[in-house]
Amino acid sequence: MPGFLGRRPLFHLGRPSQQAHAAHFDRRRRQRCGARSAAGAGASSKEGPFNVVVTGSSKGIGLALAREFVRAGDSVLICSRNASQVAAATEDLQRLAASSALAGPTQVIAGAPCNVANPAEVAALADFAHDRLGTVDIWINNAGSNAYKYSTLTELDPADLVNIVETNLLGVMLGCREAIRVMRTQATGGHIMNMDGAGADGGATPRFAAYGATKRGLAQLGKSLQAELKMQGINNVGIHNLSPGMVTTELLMSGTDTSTAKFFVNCLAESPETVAEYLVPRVRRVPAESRSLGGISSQYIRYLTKAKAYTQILMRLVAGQRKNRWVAEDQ
Amino acid sequence: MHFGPGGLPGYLQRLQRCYTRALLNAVDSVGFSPNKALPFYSSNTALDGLHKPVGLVLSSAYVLAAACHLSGVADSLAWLPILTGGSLGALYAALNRAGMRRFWRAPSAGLNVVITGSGRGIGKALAREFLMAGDRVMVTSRTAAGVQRVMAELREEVSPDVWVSGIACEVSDPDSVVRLASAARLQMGSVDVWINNAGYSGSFQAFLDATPEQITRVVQTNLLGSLLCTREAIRLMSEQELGGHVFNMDGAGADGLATPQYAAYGATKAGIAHLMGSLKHEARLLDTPVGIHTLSPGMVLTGLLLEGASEINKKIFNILCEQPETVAAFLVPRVRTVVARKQASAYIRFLTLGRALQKFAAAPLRTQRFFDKEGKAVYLPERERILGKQVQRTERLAARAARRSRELAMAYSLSLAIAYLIIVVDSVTSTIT
Repeated sequence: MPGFLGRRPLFHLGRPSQQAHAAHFDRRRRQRCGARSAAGAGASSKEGPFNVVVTGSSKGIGLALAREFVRAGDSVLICSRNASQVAAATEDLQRLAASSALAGPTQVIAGAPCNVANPAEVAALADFAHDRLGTVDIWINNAGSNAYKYSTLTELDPADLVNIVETNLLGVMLGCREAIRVMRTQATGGHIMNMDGAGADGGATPRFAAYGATKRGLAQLGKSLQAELKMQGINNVGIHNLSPGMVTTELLMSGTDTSTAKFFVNCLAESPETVAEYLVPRVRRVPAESRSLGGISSQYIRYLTKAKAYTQILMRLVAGQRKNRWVAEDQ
Repeated sequence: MHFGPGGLPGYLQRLQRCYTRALLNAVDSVGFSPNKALPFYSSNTALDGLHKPVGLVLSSAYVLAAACHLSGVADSLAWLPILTGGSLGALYAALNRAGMRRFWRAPSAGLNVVITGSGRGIGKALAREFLMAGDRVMVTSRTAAGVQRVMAELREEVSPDVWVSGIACEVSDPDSVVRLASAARLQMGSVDVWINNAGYSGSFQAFLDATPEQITRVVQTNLLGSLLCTREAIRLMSEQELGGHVFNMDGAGADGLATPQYAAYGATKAGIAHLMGSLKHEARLLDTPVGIHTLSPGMVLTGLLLEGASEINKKIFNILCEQPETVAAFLVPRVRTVVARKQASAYIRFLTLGRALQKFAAAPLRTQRFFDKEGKAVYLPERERILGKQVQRTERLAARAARRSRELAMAYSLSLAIAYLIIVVDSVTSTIT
């Protein structure tokens, strides 16, 4: 099993600075002479390394997730609407891979500009992933938007509404469709992770009504797709949910202007890195753990569970913990 | 004992007068004037509503007497089940009437109503029902030709002098929605009710078989369309002195349960149903009262539902489906009541879980209602149902849907069953002792 052995960290231990160039060059060379066969030969086992696609991953939680996967030795394809941000993030990940202890010679880091709401671009992204990574083991539909503002529906610009609905709901639908198309033909199958968000559990989301509605729709979509895959006898593709909780990204911080919002952000929010550190190992266990009779059981991986949230609020009220943690509160 | 002025005879006289008045009130509440109880279904004949209470009293008496007779009890007390059944029937009829009168309320003036996607199906049926109730309606469809056609049809079906207007509108296009809102304000002066009905299912098929164009259209028409229209409607209404009411249409998936074969549709409807909770909070910040509501039409026999339906689907349709005009007859009086009562948010459901279970229980009686064994449609086209052969049937179904009161009916059935049990137990214990 040369491919399998080839993924072991043979010569990346130590001397990261000198290795960076060599590894980069190595990757470039392999890409030129057909990474498909190279990576395909090392078809992923259930324990990894995995080939991972993360959408909307040039910043925020998407980039943090990508970094965690890279650190774990996985091949990662990132994408975002903004080509220059993708290029910068890809370089950042390549640097990280070069300095990472677990990075193997078959590790591929790639990036591509992609608007997830555009069917042709998503299809091209899936094909690109298939070509570059060989197989796609994990596809994370992370791209999400709240137009970076919190306001009532009436104050929101119609163009923002279009953007929110198309990115959050249509984008995930198209992503699922293309990911299933690629994964169903793979012997090892694959796993799709959809990011939930406020509103997914049905709770009201005033001041970001459109965002909440799309996330509620996503939670329902996962159930339907899982049922359809079962009906069609596609038992090598799983649909799962990731719940990052409150993450201190632009998306959240744009709405932290009232004292209540500040209180909850300080109480409950975590940095993207902390959340990714928690989520990625659990995501990487999904291929091994979610096998069940006649298919794949759906998993819901939550960072901020209810128990955790209530404990943190209680500790804040009782012991004043986490006050002014992210934003300064008045008083 | 002190009997007041006139001593005992005076007291008895007053008592008698009191009883007579109560009796007259009861008779009045039972029947004779359906117009009062159901203002939306003005009927010309005064005796029209009478068959119901009388029928109820007689049938209740008969059912209980027959049941007791068949179980071989109470032969010596033949009058008891008849009397009990009759009085239960009368009580139910009176309560039903009183409840109806208490619950139903018509707006003080005709409403100005905007309904998106009303070129056909349930949107058109809603428009027709509003027009029949005397409201002014603005219809929309994606094409100008569609708008002209539906306006002509509505005038023919209801009356040539109803106030109906229309404009072509693509609900997923922000500019088009703005044009609709300004046209509505210009032509009607104000908008009291705005119903986001436009919807697209993308046909029954596996999600993987759906084209990206279909998926895009489902998301844009259903969720984006509802958001854009709701936004525009609330903006318009918040400038009106009396506010207004926005209604969104839910659909399969709104409860968060899986909807295989129409995954995209279900996801958008789950989002739409979620919207009400958030917007209810946001509406409190407005200066004028804008109500945010959701309508749930259940399964309606329209193009949206039938596209790509399989034979198994059609078997389910036979059991659960209703024609759009029947559903509209249920929804519209309730929408008008919501407006008249100035409710802040309401969820009006036609097909509740209880109703669906009831229908499944009666499934053997409901086969081939709309489709025969080969899945061929056996129902008449809309025109025949509204204007042609089936007018009376349609009106009967509509009237039944409009005055549905399940809780009371359940209480009635239950009390009848309890009465039967008591009589049986009483008879058994008396024969033992």
